[in-house]
Amino acid sequence: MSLLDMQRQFRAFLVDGPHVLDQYVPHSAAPGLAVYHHAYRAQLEECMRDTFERTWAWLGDDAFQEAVHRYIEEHSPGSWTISDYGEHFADALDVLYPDSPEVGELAQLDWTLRRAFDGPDGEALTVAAISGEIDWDSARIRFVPTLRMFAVRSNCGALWSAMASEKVPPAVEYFTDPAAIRVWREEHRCRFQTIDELEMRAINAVANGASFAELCGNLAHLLGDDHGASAAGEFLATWMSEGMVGAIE
Amino acid sequence: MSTRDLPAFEGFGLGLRPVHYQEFLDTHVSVDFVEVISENFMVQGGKPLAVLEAVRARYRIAMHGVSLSIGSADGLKLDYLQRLKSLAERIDPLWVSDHLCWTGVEGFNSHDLLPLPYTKEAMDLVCANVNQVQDFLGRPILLENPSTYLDYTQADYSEPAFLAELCRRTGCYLLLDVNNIYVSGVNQGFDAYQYLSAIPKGYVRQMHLAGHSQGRDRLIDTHDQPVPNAVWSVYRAACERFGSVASMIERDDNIPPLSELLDELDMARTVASVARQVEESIA
Repeated sequence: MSLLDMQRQFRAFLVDGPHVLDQYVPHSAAPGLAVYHHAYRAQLEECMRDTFERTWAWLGDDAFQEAVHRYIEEHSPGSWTISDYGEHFADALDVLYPDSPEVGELAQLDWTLRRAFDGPDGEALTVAAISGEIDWDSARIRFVPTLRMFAVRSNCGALWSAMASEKVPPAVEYFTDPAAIRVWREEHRCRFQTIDELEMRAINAVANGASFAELCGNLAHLLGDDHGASAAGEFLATWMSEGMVGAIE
Repeated sequence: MSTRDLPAFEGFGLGLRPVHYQEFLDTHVSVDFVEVISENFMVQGGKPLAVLEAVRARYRIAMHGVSLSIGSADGLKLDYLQRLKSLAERIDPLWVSDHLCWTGVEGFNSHDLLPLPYTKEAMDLVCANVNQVQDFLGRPILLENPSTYLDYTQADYSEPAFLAELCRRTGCYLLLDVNNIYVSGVNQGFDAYQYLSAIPKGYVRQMHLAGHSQGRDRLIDTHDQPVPNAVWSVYRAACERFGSVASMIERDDNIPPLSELLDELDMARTVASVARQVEESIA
């Protein structure tokens, strides 16, 4: 027996690939093999139901189960943690539901919130803690480390919130203007907010290293010279009040 | 061969599960230790680690993993080991344990505890991997006997003989799951009490107690039921053979109120106490 070859054959058996595992187990092992074959899928299915709870609620049992089965057929788990398994599920749903972007976006929101739940710690900066000596010409905003943002075309945030509070979800809406959802964790509470294109651009600029002065300039370019600084100030006030800012350096 | 000693720890514990987090923090739960699933806390931050730190301040902790894959023929995953080591250094657990099994190979992870063939090749490989883990962690590890649902055509050792030889060659210790012995015994047709007698005294540092379910053709190690009488009987025999060993109830599904698990733990205390009296009267 070659242990490496046996394990390769066992893996192929689990994922329904061609295998010759029979050469390593007796004929009487069939019921036991069935236990492992079932457990492999059951474990992944349970993980997906847990990770994508709102997506599951939105699609319903049958459609979600079908999507998960297809995903399992096309994606073998590789990470040391099963928590990583659903990383590509939103993309898979985009392919399955090309005319219903809210499905993949709900999955993306489920996934990103789950990442924020046990993502890196980072204390939020409070207004009281801001030093009076900030040089705003060179100051840079640093967001808390769990902040993530992704573009959306639908009101998936409203759908998610309604399902989370066990209310009837609103009708699906598709936005005509670009929009995004930002996700972050404030202490132990995972939060999200649907935002417009302007805030999306502002967050991208800050996340890519723009100083506060450069943010003002960017916004002035979009809104007019008289409005750049005030818009940047309003964004900063919002981000701080929502626990998104880790530091101003 | 490693020469690290792991002092025995006597006591009775429970697995720490999210549904009971708050009770463990708000009240004094009558346990000597709690066991955590290592992987659930090998994360960057957030509530899981905060809870663990708070629990750690009140209870002794044993770390129990499911993804070490000590039997993978293509070796260990170093990023996993680094995360495991970081958590162990942060928590300073009673010990770190995992299972005698393999979970994946060549980039594939089944996330299941798959059985090893008990061959000389597997022995050499597992010994090398155990030595690597113990050297990396700087501590001995405990390995748990798995529930198995099949035999391989080739075997050079019985499972207890494999475990005994592994301990002798590497200095690792055993987490004896008496439910797994019972489940595998029924599934593979071996006697649980003979299995116990083939495990040398002195290596067992912890015992698991759990329940199982009847599948279509096999007993399944589901951890979703109270400990059944048959498993209590094996536990009593294990206590008579191995003496006072840290023992715990392992419940992972269909989790009842904490009070029910504490009642089961009291049963474990009683069984262990009776077994100790028998042992003393024989001595």
